[in-house]
Amino acid sequence: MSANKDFNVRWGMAIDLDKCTGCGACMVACQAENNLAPVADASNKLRVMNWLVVFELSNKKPFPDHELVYLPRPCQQCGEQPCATVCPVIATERNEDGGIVSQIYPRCIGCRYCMAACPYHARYFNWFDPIWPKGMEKALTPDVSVRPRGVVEKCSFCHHRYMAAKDKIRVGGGSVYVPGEKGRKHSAIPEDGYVTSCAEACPNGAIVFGDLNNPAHKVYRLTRGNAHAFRLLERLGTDTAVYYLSSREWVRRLGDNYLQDEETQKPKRILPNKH
Amino acid sequence: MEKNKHSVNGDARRCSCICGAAPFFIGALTALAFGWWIFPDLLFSKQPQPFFFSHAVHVEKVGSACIDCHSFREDGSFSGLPKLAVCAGCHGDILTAEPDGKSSSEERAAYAAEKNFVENYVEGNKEIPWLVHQKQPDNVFFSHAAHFSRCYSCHLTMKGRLNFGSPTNPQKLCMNCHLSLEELDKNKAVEFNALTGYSRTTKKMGECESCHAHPGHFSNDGKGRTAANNACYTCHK
Amino acid sequence: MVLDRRGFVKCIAGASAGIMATPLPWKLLDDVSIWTQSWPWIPANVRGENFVVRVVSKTCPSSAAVKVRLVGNRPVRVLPDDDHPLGGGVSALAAAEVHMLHSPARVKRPLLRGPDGAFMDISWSKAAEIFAGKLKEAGGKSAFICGDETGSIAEVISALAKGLGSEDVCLMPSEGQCAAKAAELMRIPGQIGYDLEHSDYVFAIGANIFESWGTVVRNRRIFRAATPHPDGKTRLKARFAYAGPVQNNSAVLARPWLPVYPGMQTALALGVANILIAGGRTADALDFGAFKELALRYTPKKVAQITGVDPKGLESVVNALLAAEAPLVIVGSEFGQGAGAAPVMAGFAVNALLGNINRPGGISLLPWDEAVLGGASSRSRLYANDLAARVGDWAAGGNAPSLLVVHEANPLYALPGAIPAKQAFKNIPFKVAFSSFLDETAEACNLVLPVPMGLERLDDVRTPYGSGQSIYCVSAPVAQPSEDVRPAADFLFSAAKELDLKMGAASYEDLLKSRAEGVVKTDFAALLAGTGAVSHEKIKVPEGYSLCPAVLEKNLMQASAETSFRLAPFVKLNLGTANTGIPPYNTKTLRASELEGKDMFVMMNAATTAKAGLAEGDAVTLEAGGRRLPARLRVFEGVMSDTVAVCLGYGHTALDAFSQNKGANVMELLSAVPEPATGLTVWSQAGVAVAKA
Repeated sequence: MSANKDFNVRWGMAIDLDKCTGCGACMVACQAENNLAPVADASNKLRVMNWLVVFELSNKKPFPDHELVYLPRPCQQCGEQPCATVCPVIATERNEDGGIVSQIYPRCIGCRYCMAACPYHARYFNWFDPIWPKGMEKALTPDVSVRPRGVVEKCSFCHHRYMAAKDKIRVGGGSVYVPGEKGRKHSAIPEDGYVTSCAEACPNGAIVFGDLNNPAHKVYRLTRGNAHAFRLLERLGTDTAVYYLSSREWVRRLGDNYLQDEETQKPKRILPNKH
Repeated sequence: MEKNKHSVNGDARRCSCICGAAPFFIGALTALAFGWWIFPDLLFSKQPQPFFFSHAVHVEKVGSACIDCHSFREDGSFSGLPKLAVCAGCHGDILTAEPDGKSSSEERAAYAAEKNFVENYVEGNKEIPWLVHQKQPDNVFFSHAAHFSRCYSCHLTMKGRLNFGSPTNPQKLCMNCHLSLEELDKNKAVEFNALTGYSRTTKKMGECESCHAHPGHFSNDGKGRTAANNACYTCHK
Repeated sequence: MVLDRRGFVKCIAGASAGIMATPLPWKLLDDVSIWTQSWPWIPANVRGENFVVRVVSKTCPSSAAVKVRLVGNRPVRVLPDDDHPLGGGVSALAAAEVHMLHSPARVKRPLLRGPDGAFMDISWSKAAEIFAGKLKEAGGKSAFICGDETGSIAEVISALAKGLGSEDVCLMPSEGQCAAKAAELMRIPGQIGYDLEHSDYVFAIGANIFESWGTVVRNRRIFRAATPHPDGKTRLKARFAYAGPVQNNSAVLARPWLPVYPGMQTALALGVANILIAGGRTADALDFGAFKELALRYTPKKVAQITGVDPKGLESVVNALLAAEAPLVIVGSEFGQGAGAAPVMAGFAVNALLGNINRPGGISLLPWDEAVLGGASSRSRLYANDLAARVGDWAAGGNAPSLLVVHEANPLYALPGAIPAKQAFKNIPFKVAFSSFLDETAEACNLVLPVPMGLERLDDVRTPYGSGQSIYCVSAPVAQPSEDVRPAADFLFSAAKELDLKMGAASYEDLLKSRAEGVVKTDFAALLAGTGAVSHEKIKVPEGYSLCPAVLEKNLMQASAETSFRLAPFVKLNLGTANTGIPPYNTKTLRASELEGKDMFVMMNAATTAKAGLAEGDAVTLEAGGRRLPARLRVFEGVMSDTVAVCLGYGHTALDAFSQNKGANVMELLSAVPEPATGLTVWSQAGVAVAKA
């Protein structure tokens, strides 16, 4: 099921950590777009639902040599998903149309195996029913169903926007795929036609979204052969679709559990077509 | 005496053998009757539409295809039921001639119906609370655009499991899931499932899968097939 | 036949077998499983047609231009407006704006404080009657506080006050006010603007340009466009340096971040001026000689001593400024207020030395917009009124007005603790609040008049402070108000009519239209559609402008109180403003290291923590001027030595569960002193004692 097929289109991100200030606009935009309920006290981070979290990284040096970097963490949309392989009911799988890992709420039985399996803590369990202050449910979008208590959910790369973008092309009379190089097909959606809510909201342009397989897209250039790009837990072989960019070595080192004298590794597919 | 007694007992036993099975069959038959006839009536509540709308009349007078009224928007989304403004475009005033002495009862009824519509809805600027036959759950993303543009464009002239109609009768595509115009014009009450809240005619996932679970195209095995995949995110949100 | 027990059992067995041959069990099983997926208390998706409306946020202090997505008539999202000069991305505050329309903290209908001290609901007509009555009664003894410095509402309020014979119209303290005062003292008859768009090297001193200074969203967009992504090959050119006490959102992006003590902007700017002048730079100001003399005294060594800056770091930044084609130095408050005019003047002097006044990428001198309403004070005139000083007066007794009208401002929360705002409120017999939210100030008022939020009303934005060009935007309402509210401007216009006061316009729309067509000379309809009217008109650098060395010197002489630690407040937009509190959608953006339950964390670096004899996680009490603030300590290496960093925005006692009783309000600790020779009140330097609680 999770054979790491090389799909035609693989939606992915390049998140520029040199540009992120940790302002939180992406987190708010994500919650608003995906109908996550607000909570009055969000201090218990194990119970609070956040599809996208901005983490704070430090070089751990004392003042004044201290450096600070913020790292937004959406679902990494792995090519080799630790989550989907353990789901007993196939409530989550990787979609060959774009490589996005889905989460089907009515199918989920809430066993949370996937949460235990996810090395990125990108999955969240609905411990409570989502409650909006009276009237605030009027500001919900119609694009994403509201999840009840008892199911797991996670970032979907704003998949509904992908569906909408495709429909726009179809209604315009076009085909959703166009031929690319080497017999590959690319999505006919223009690069700015499908963007996740976080990438769209970021005033610093820190999140670049696009097709990792399409040479015309910015992410393609930013992620291939870029010495400053890295992925989280690269050597785990999860083949994530979220790349991070940082010009600082110490940030790139934090991407994986490197030994003291070990060199930081560049993104590569560790386990191509393992299955 | 003993024998006689025995024979009495024997009759009683035979009788009780026949009569003995009766409660079982009575129970079974009652259950069958309940399960087949009474239960569906109990499970479904019937709700009438706010008023009668004749698709046939409108198709004849206004447009020939479904998408003339149930149109696509520029952003690719499907408008579904037309808003009141669309109706008010023609029915701003009463179009039917005011009945006089020569009018038939049908003409009178038509006039009364339109008058009611214009006065209550158009002038009151009140959206019509239509009951929807095919409302899908929130977690379903049904792309009208995909089915209309991709399937329809090819299948219009092909024969297969899905009946895509003919160039002169394009509605047939829609009728694979929606009620036919004839059905709609019977103005039957919409039946809603008391447990789920969905209408009786709402398509269920199995019906989507009758094509979506058969990937690949061009087959003569009688099964519906689709070029689209059956990944969860194809239809879920 | 009598049904005996055995017969009954048989009947049940038959029924069970029979029912299995009907659709009932299978259908029920299926339906029940569907039933478990749709609980009535889980909101359903409500579909509709999508619309996008361009507006400028009146809630976000950055005046962010955004697009609001509506589904049917419901606003559901705030999206960026990349084509607008004030747009490009959204701030964490603007992103939450549509949800705030339904915030539990909103005032739902007019409220009047009854004789028993509790609020009671009243009708709008009753409210209008009371308001007009009180205005008439108070006449010239009425005072006004306006929390909106960019909107024309300030002009409406001022016209009304003039009509009543009152001069007491104050804006809430802001960076714009400090800059206006600086311009006035420097004899520059215009608004100071910053042409970030064309600058290739920016040095921000104090000014947190990515979070609290000026047009934040625009600033960020400009930074985005100018900085390429790292590709491992091209050497990225540094184009932004920041000096401030906390490694805040601006410092994170700065190369380098120069840590300095809080409130040291003027001295640091003079240090920059010193190096520039030593390198032969001059400015054509009238009193450049005196300024030069002053600046030459602020050698890098001396500046390092005062501000704690690393002299080498400062020198490298100055070298980068000199090497840049269009360098720009922005000096402002570290937390968006209370720094006074001196830092802006010092910053202006540095820019003058860099020769960038009215040059691309430098400081632009923009014409002030004049008042449209006859009798109303212009914006620059309103800036001249110092609220803090007046509140002090009112508290002392004597001059207290008999009526105070507060418009979209929360002075009881937002003014420093040293300013006796609460006492002033006690001395004013009748207070009226125009507010969308029931905040601390509204709770202390006698009459609370709910106003529509920015998205629900017609309003405008006049060149926000920080913009490099004159810009005028009109924001049309995108949604029907969700509560029983009236726009403050319309309410004031009808009150004026009631009192037979001539306002010079029939309605707020009329006023905006006259401004658009008469002053800005742009089509009103185009403005309503969300396009801002930009003017590149600049005023000439006045020949006789002054660098005010005397004022600067007096300010530099002002010694801060002798305390062991310095207080460095900072701002994060995701915590909302004093008016909004923490927006419901933003509580999740607060990290575990910022807020835990009701405890907020203040930050010190490890060396300072050790010096204070404290440890990570300790409950501490900060004390200044006899006022105490409880908090917990987080050891964070991104804070200047001997400094305690505290985030603003916590400690609301009013509003809703999303803001209430979370941490404490650092404004309480701040002292307020008059800035020598400028007439402003400043609160940028505060000593604080830190003790284990």
